[in-house]
Amino acid sequence: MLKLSNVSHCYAKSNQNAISNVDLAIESGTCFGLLGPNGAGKTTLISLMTGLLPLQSGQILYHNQSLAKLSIQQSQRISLIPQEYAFYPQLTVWENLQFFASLYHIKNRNFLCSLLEKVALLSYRNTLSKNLSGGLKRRLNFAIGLINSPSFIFMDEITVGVDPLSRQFILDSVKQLSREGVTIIYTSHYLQEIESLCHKIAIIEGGKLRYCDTVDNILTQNGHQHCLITLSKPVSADLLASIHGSVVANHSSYIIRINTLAIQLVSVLNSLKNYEILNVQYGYGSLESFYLNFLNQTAFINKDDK
Amino acid sequence: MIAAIIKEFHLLSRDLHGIAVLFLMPMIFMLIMSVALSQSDDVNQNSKIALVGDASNPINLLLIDELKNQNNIHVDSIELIDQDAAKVQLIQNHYDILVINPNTTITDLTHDAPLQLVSLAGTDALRLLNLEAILQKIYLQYRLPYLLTQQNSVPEHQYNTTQNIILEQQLANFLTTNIIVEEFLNTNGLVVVKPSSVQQSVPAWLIFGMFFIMIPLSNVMTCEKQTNTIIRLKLAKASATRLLFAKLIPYFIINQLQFLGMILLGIYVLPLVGIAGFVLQGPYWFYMMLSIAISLSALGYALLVSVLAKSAEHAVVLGGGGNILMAALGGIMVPSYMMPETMQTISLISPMSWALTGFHNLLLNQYNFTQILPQWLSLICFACIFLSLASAIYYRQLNKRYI
Repeated sequence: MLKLSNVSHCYAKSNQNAISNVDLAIESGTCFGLLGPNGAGKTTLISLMTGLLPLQSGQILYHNQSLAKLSIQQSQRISLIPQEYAFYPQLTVWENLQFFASLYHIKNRNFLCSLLEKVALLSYRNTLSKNLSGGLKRRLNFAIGLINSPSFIFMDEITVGVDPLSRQFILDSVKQLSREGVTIIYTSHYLQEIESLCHKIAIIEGGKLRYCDTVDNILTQNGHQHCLITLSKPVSADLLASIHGSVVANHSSYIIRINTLAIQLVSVLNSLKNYEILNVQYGYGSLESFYLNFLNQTAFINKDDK
Repeated sequence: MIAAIIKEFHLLSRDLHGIAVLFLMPMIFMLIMSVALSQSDDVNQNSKIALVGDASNPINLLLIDELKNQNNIHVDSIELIDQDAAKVQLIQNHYDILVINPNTTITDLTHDAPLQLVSLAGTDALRLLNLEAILQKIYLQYRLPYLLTQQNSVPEHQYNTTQNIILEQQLANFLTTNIIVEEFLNTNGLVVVKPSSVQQSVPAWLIFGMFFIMIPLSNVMTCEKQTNTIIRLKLAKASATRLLFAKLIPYFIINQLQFLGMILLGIYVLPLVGIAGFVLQGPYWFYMMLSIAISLSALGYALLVSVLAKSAEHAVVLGGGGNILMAALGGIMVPSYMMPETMQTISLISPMSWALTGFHNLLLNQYNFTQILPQWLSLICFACIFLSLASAIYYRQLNKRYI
C-alpha cells in the first residue's frame, strides 16, 4: 500500500502551496488514476511520491515504510514512465535497454529480450531509437520503465500523440501489469483510458485532493443507466413517438440512447420489431461526463482559466 | 507578407543565442583580433640586437649604423671573444637576436665566413627574415667592394690572367655560398633545428581542436536534460560521480586519439602534399603528459559548458564562442609574440596559451618536462577547478531535478 498523509509542498519563490494537505491511500496491485486539469498539481504529487522532490511536510509510506527510509533496493522498485521519450535517441533500442538495465545491475539478456518481446520491439532491437516511429518510441519508453521489474509504476500521460493501435497495445500492457500485481499510478487526460484501466481515481485541483472514489462507485452513483441501440436504418419520427421513456435520438439517427431501466428495455425492443438491430450496449454514464460535471459544478475550470 | 516579416523579427528578437552569435561574438572577436594584430605591421617590434664581432672592423661599424637607422631596432656591439656571454644574454632574453660576424679586417675572400644569426627557437620567422634582408643588402653593399679592394691591393706587375681567373672563381664562390646562416638555441643553450611553420601551426590547431570536445559532450548532456532521461538516472539512484566518470573516460580517449591523429597527420600526410613534415623533438612521454593535461582542461571546460547549457544550441554558442575567444586570446590564431605587450599579458589567462607555450617549449626549445611544469600545472589546476565546479553543478542538478 502507498499512503500519503497530510502531504504539502511549496516551490521556492512561490507563496502558494503546489500541494496542500493531501491524504491518499493506494492499494497494492491496483491501478490508480490521478485526474486534474493542467497545473492542478498532479506532476508535483508524482514527483513527491517518487522521491524526486524532497518531502517538505506530511508523510509518504510505501508498505508502512517511510519513502526516505527505503533501502536502495526497495526504492529501485519504484519506476516512472514520463511523457517525454526518456532515452538516448542516438543509441539503438538494445543499447538503450542495456544501459538502463546496467543502472540496476541487470545483465540477463533473456530478460531484456523478453521485455522487448512484451512490447513487440524485438525486431527493432538494432534500430536507432531516433529512427523509430512515435508509437514505437512510446513502447521503448514503456519497456525501459519496466526494466527494474517495479512494484510501483507512475505513468505520466504515456499515450499522448500515439496512434490508436499503439495506444491499445500500451493499454493492454498496462492491464497485464495490473493483473500481475504491479501498483500503477496513472495520469492521463484521456478519461476513457482511466475508465478502462483504473480501479480508483482521485481528482486533484489547485493542489488539493477534491475527490477520491472507485470508478465503479462513480459510475453507479453519479452516472445514469443507459442503453445504446444501433439500427441498420434511421429511426422514423413515428417510431420515436411510440417509444415510451426518456429517448435521446432523432429521426435521421441510426442510434437510439435510452435513459431507462433494464426492465423497460423489453418494451422498447418490441417497438423496434421492424428494424434490424445491429448492436445493443447497456451501461452507465461515462467517467468523462462525471469529471466534466464535477469540475463545472465546482467551477474549477473557470478558476483555472483565471 | 508584412505579418510574416514582423513574425520573423519577433522570432529573432526572442532568440537571444542567435543574436549573441550575430552581434556580440563578431564584435568581441574583431576587438581581440584588431588589438592582437595592431603591431603586425612593424615586424621589428623593438628588436634588441647584439652585433658580435671585431669592433675595429669597418663593416661591423657600418652594419651597426645601418641597423640603427631602421625603425624600432636597438643595437649593441659585443666583442667576438665575448660570444658565449652574448649567447647567455640571448637565452636570458636581454637580446632577441645575435648577429655574429666571425670575419675580421684581415679575412680574405676565400676565408670569408657567413654571418651567423643566432636566436631562440621560438623567434618570429618574419622578424628574422626582415633582419636577414637588411643584413644581406648591407653586407653585399659593403663587404664585397671591401674584399675587392683588398684583392686590388696586389701589385699590378704580379697581377696576371691566372690570378684574374682565381679571383673570378673566388667571387663566384662567395656569391653562391650563403652570406647568412641561422642558428637556433633553446633556453638551455643547445642548438636546435630550425622550426618550420608546420612545427608552429600543428600544435596550435591541435589544441584548438581538442577543446572542441565540448560539442559532442554537451549534445549528450543537454539531450539527457531535455528528454528527462536524467530523471530516470536519478530514480535508478545512479551515482553522480560514477555517471560523470563514465562520461569523461570515453571523451578523454577520443581527445587522446585526436592528439595522436593530428600528430600522425603532421608527420606522414603533410610531406605527401609537399609540406615539411611535423617532427616531434624530445622524449614522447613529455608530449603524453602534456596531452593528458590539455585533455583534462578541455574536458573540464566541456563539462562546465554542458551542465550550464540548457540546450544543444545554447552549448554551441556558449562553448564554441568561448573556445574561439580563448583561441584568439591564447595565440592560436595570431602568435602571441606578434601581439602588443598588454595583449601578450592578457593572453596568459587563456588555457590554450598555456598549452601552446608548453607544446612549443617541448617542440622548439627542446625543454625537458620540469621546464614546462608551470604550463602543465596551470592546465591541471584549470582542469581541477572546472571539473570540480561542473561536478558540483551536475550533482545539484541531478538531486534537484524533478518532472
